[in-house]
Amino acid sequence: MVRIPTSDIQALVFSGHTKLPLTTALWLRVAQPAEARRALGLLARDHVAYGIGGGSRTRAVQVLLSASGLRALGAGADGMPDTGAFGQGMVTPQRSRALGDFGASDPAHWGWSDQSAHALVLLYAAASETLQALRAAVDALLAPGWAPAAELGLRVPADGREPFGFSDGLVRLRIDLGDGKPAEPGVDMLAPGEVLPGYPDANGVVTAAPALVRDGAFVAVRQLEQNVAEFWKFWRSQSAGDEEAVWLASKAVGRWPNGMPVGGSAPQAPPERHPTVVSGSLTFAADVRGEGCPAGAHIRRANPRDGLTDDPAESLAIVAPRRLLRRGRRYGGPPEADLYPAAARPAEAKAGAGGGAQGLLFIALCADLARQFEFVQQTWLNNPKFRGLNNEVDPVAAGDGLPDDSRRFSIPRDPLRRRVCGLQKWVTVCGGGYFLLPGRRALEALARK
Amino acid sequence: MPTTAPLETWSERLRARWRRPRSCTALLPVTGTTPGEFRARLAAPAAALPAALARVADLHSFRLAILPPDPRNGGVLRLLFNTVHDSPPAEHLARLFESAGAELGEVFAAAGLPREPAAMIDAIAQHRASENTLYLGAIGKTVPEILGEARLREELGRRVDARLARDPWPAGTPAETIRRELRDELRASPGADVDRSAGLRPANSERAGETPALREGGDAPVADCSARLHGGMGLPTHVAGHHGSGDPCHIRTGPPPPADPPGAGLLKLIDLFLTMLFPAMGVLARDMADAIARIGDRLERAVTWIGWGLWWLYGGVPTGLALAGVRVVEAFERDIVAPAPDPAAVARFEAAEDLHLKNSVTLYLPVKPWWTRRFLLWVVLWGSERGTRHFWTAGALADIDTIHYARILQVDGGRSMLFLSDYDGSLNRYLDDFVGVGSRAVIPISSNLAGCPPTRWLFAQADPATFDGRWRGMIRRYQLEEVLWYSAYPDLAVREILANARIRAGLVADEMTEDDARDWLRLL
Repeated sequence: MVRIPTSDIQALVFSGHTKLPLTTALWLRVAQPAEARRALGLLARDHVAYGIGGGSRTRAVQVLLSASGLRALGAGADGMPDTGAFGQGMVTPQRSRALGDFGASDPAHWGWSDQSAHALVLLYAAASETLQALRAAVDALLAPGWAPAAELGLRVPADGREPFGFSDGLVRLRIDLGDGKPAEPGVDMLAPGEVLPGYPDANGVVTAAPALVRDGAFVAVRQLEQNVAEFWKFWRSQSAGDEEAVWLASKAVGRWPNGMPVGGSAPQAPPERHPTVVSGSLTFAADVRGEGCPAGAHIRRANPRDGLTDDPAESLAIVAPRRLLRRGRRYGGPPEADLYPAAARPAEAKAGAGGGAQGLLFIALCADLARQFEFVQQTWLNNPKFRGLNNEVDPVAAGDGLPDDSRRFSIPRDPLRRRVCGLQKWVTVCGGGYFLLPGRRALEALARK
Repeated sequence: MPTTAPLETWSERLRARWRRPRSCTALLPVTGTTPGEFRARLAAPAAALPAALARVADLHSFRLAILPPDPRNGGVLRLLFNTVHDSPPAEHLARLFESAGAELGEVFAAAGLPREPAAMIDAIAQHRASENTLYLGAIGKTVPEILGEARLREELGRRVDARLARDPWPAGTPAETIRRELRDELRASPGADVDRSAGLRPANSERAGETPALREGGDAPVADCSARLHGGMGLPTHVAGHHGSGDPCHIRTGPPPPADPPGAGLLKLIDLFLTMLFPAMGVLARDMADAIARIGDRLERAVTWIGWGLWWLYGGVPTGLALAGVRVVEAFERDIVAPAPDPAAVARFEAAEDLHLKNSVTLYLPVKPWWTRRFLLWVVLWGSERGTRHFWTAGALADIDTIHYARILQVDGGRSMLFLSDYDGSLNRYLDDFVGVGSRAVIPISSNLAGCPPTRWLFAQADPATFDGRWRGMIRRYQLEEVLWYSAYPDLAVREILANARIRAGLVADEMTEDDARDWLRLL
């Protein structure tokens, strides 16, 4: 087994920093290259969290760089991944086609991208005062080399619900460090090369990693704004009551709002939440026809597990090199309680909270953006023929630019399916980019240039 | 139309009796111009071609590409012309030039060739290149059938939705009752003839409302996303939900699908027998076993298993010796590394990809510069062709179920290989299948190419750590930028076409068992 120098790898690879629920995301541009390199070196030395359990108990900093950022910092061509998805960035016509970024999600409308932003700095803290102090310290360090491009406040809600009201982050992945530690129940082991280029991947293959990429990971970042009001308005319009609306939306998502696996061929109330079931590994091999979790449901498209083909082992082999390590967080304040049916209402929802922007900053780590992130988006989430479906798309997060006759979703039942037509677009991409989460040595090398 | 050379070899003619559509490829010599100048001169006629091609009722796919001058063929610039079609070549080409004669005349004139239809057909016949291997995903399906069955499925889906919303079947209604009601409802629609037709035809014109896939040049935007996504299914206006006129139940019949001519089954059996005389056919053992397992009739399947077991007494040793011979060749040859792909060319390829669900790729690859490899490639392609005729017949080529048609030609006296493919999804996903689930069909062919990383025992990658990257690099390095690629149904997947055919077949069945009817309803 290859030894992985965990202490040289940014902590985000090993942890989502869930004990530090408050975050500020800062998108930055290089204003003065020499100063920017100096500041990057100090940031990497004094603030960036590395390794397993990296960072203090109260705060952590992670630094991500875009290809345009590497160029602006003067990274040499020898170590620079300048081709492919990362090198081109997320804003090209072919990438937009692969990701479904059309219409309201067209990059022309984005607030930031990997072209406009050279770096993304994530500040994590346990309390707002700590976050403010950390922000002040980092601001002082970054000026005048770096100029702010955009900013977003993020958080982990106490009940773990995403803005539509569904439990999120239920899939738990851990990188197999070859330390012999068995995975805890419900935790999937991930080959290190699925996140860290240059290490054995799911097929045991080691791809070459340039020096800048060594002990780093590629990261797809997308700001996904969610229209909660329209989401629930639609499902209610298709239903006789809230119980049916929640059942339909749960079929579309693939789980009940409380995280329990969805099932049943007729509307019903959500089952009680059983933590062991919710955190356990979900499988689809026994549900080939999708009568429990429909084949077109969001979670089944995003991670088909053992249900992609009729052969579970083959399916797992196909899915293994597509896994993504998610580290995203929610943005927006407490949502308006009236928008939700009672069974899907997040604990933090408040009457009269207003309709501020709600969404997720999707952050996914992987070793190969095209093989993993773009493949999942294009071939599974946005594919109208996914697993033999006939012109259907992800009922929750499909891209834009799709024909009206693809805006439908089938719920298999015996003898005839129920089909929901006229699905709307409830998730809009407001920003996006491909970044590199460099290792300690790469950051130091960049600072020395 | 008289031609001096045949448009089809006798074996292709026999093959087409049980296996269609057909493919016609020609490598036309280009004179008096340079590659860059030639490409520029083709831009205008290529832009005008798709509209004309859409009028050719039996045309599945069409492509033009420029083969650069190469020492392997004496430095001649050539135009690759390929069409995938239903009717016999002479009939198809006559139809093609009748609809698109003016535009194709411009293309031929730019190549320094005559522009009269008869002379163009003659040039195609003279420079015709036979496919060593022709794989078909949806065997026997004609263009009108494919489009009609897609419309039929859409219409059935809508009727089911409407019925479920208006007056759902009571719980416990037998599936067969539901199927018959749906069939009778469609049969009762004014003008409907779903039993004889190829599904549903567009209401207003021969190919009304269809926006074909189009890839031109590379610079100009080809079809906007809306056209790409809205037009491909060729839905009639009322089915597509636009403001069409006329009766919403209006259904017109298409021409009856052509049946296999008498004796086609026997010909296929004879071809299979001759195939199995090749003693090294055992290299396709897994695919033969899969094909036998698919035989529906239990007795026939059992007899075939026994026959296959006995065949190994004949073919087991030769198959082993053939693999050992290949291993010797592999062990003693030097590794040839393909030059790195040009990033600018890759960017141009990517800019022309993923405009539709279906994509195309055209490769012009050098064969390893040894006679052993030229011969081995010829043998492997011969075997692949037999595999496509008899074993890969259920919509998947060695478990790759996204290929509409793949054509492989060994040209330039065996020194080059042409690969033309129409497939579903992205190129990355396609190549994943090539080095993944379908590698047993792909690696034996590509191992003969200069630039393919070393292999072992014909099928295995010698160094899995580097194979994938090098292999993909070779593909991009030898990819050709197409001048034009056209598909009559750019947004229909292979699996979907086959499912649509099952839906139509089930709809018109006189009766079904309850289990079969239940399975059929699940397709909707």
